[in-house]
Amino acid sequence: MVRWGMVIDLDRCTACQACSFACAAENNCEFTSPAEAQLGRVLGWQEVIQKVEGAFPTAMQRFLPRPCFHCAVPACVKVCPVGATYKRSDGIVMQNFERCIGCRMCMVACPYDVRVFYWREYRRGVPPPLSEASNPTGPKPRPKGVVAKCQFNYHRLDRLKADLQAGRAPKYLYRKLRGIYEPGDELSEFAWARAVDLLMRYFWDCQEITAENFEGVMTGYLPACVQVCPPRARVFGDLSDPSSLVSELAHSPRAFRLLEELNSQPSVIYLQEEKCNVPQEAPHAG
Amino acid sequence: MRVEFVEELLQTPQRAAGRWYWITLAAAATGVLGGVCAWGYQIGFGLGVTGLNQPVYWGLYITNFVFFIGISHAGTLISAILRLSGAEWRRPVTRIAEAITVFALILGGAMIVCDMGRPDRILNVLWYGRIQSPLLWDVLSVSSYLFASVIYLYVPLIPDIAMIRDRMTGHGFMSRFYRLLALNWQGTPMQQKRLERAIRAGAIMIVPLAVSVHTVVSYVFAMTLRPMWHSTIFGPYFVIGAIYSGIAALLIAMVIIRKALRLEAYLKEVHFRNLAYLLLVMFGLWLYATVGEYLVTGYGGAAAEARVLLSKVQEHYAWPFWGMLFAMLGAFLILAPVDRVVKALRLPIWKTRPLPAFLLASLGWCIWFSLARAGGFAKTPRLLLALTEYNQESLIAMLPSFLFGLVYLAALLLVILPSLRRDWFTISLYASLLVIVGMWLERFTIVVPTLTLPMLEEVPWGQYVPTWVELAITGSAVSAMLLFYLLFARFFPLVSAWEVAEGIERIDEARERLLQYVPEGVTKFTATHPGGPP
Repeated sequence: MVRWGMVIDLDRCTACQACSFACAAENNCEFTSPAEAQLGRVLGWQEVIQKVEGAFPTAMQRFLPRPCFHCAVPACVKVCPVGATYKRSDGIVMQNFERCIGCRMCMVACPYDVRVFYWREYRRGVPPPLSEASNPTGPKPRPKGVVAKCQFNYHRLDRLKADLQAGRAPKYLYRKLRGIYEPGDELSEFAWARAVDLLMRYFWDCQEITAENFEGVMTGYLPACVQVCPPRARVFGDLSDPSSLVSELAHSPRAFRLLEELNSQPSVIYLQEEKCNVPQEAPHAG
Repeated sequence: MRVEFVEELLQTPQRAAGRWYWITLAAAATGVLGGVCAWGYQIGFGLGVTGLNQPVYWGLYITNFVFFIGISHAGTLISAILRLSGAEWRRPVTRIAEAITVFALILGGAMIVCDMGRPDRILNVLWYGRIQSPLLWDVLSVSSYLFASVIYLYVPLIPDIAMIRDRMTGHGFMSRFYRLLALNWQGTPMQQKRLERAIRAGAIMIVPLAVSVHTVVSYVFAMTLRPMWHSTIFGPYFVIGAIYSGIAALLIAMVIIRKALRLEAYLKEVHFRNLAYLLLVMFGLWLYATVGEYLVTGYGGAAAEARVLLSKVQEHYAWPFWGMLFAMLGAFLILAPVDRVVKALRLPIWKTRPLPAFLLASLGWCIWFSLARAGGFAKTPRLLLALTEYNQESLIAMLPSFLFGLVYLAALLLVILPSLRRDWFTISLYASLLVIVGMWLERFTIVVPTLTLPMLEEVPWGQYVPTWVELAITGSAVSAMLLFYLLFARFFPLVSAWEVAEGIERIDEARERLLQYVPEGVTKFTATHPGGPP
C-alpha cells in the first residue's frame, strides 16, 4: 500500500517561499488582500511560517514550510460530519469542495492549523483571465464558504499513473521500471510509487538543469512545491517503500515530526541538525 | 373558588394584549428582522463579514449556540425532574420552563446555521452524515431533544386547550385552531389516565436525553486535542452549567411574566425561593467543576495549557474570565444570606443606594480590568517572585491576580449587598441576571481563548473582535426569544390551569401520604417530657 510522504530539509531551506507560490499557481489558489491577511485570513495551502525566538542580541528567526501533514490518523477526517474530508488509499487526505458544509470542525480539530477557509468569493470583480483557473489541470476554483487544504498535488500523481499506462511518460522511466512494469500491463501501485521515486531521484541527483535533462527533471509529475524548490529541500515519495529516497531520508538522525506526542503520525518529516533552541531568559530576571 | 381561578388562568392570553404588549412585540419583531437582514448580508458576502479568522474559526455564533442549548435545559429537564420527584410546587412553573426549552433549542439550531459557511448544503448532514463525527451527535441529540420537548410542551397543554375550546363561541379560525389542537379532549377518565402516563413516560425519557444533549455539545470541544478543551470533565461541566443557566433563565422569565400578566397569586414567593435554592445548589456544583477544571490544568502547568490559562487570567481574555467569576460569585453572595453573616460578625456595612453602588462597582471593575490587561500583576512583589520562579506560566504565577481579584470582589459586594432588598423576587432576579451574563461569558471563555493560541508554536497567535454582523445576529437571537414568548403567551395560558387545579385536589392526598409515614392510628401527637410535670 502506497503512503505518500514528504521530507523537508530545514537545513537546506532558505525560506524563499517559492513553494508557496508554486502551490498557489498549481492549485488555482486565490489571493487575499493585505488587510484580510492581517486578520489572519490567509488562503495558502502551503505557507512558510516563522517564529522569533530569544531576544536581542541572541534573537533567532525560525522558518517552517508547512504543507498539510497528511496524517496517518487524521483528526480532521475523524470529525467531519459529512465525509467531505477523507483519506485516499494512498494516504492523501482529500477535501471534497462540493460536499463541504463549512462548519470548520476540521479546522478546529487539526492540531497543525493547516486548513484554510474561503471567507468570501475571492474571484468576484476580478477581470476575466484572472477570474478563471490559471491552471486548467489543477483543482477547480473553490466556492465561498468551504474549507480547502493541500492535497499533495494528487492530480499530478494521478496524471503520472495515466501517462505511464498510456505510454506518454518519459522514456527512461520505462527502461528503469523493466521487471516491475511492462508497457501494456496493469500498473501496480508499487510500480507507480517506484516511478515517482525514480523521478524524485533524477531530480535530486542532477547538479544543474540543462537542455538535455530538462524534460526528465521538469516533468510536472512531482508536487509543484517539490519541483520548484531552489535548494531542493523537499523530497517526495512513498514512505511505505524502505528503498525510496524519501524513506531513506526519513530515517536520518536529523528527522523529526511535529507534535508527535499527539499520535497523528504525520507523513511530512522535517530534517534539522539541531532544532534551534536559543536559551531563553526569564523575562522577569534582572 | 376552583372555577374562578381556572377562568382567570385561561384568560391570560387575553391579558397579553395591552398597549405594552404590542409595543414589545413590535420591538422584538424589529430586532429579529434586523438579525435576519444581517444574516442575509452574511450569506451574500460570505463569512468574511464576521470577525472570524484563522485560527479563531469559531466565535460568537458557537458561543451563542452553547449558551442557548444550555438555557434549554431550563425547561424540560427541570420540569421533568420536578414532576418525577413529585414536587408539588412545580405546578405553576412547568409550562414557563418547557416553553423556554423549545424556543432556546430553535435558537441554538439557528446559531449553527448562521455559523455555517454553506447553509445551503445543510441537508448534506442527512445525506452524507457520518456517525463518527461529534457534530452529528449534536445534530441527532439536539433534534431529538427538540422533538421530545415540543411533545412535552404540547401534551400537558391539551386539557387547557380543550378548556379554551369549550369557552370559544362561533366557528372562526381561532375556534377551529383550538379544536384541532385539543385532539378531542373530553376529560374522560380514560383520557386522563393516558395523559398522566404520557407525561410520566415523557418525563422519564427526557432526563437522559437532556443530559446527553449538553454532553455531546461539550464533546464538540473535548474531542479535539486543543489545550483546555481536551478535558474529561467537559461533559458534566457543561451539563451543570446548562442546568444552572436554565434555572436562571426560568427565574427571569417568571419575574417578567408575574409582573406583566399579573399572576402574583400563582407565582408566589415560595416558587421563587425554591428555585433560588436550586440555583444556589447549582452554583455549588458549577464552582466545584470550575475549580477542578482550572486548578488541575494550572497546577500541572503544561506549557500549552498554561498558555491558555494565562491568557484567560491576566491577558486578552481577562475580561470574560473575571467577568464570569465575578458574576457567579456575586450571584452566590446575593442568593446566600451573606448580609446576615456580615451582621452577625458585626462587620461595618456602608449604607448605599443601588445606583451609586453599581456605579462604584463598575468603576472599580474598570480599574481592575485595565490593570489585568496591562499585565500589571506580573510585576509582583519579591516574595511572590520567589514563588513564581519555578514555572513562569504556572498557576502560582497567576496567584497574585487571583488574590487581588477575590479581595476586590469581597470589598465590592460589601458595598452593593446592603442596597438589595431581601425579598425573593428581587434576589432571584438580580442573581439570575448575573448567572445568565456569567454563563454566557463562561461559554465565550471556553470557545475563544483556546483557539487564539494554536498548538503549533510557529503559527501566529490569533485575535478575535466580533463585527456588527455577529453582534446584530446575537442581539436578534435575544429578541427572537422574547418574540417567541410573546406569541406563545398570546395563544396559550402560561400557567397550567388544569395542573394547578389538580394540585388543590392533591391536598387531601398529601395528608394521606404523610399519614403513611407515621405510626398507625396516631392522629395527634402530644409531646411529653420524661421527668417533666405529668
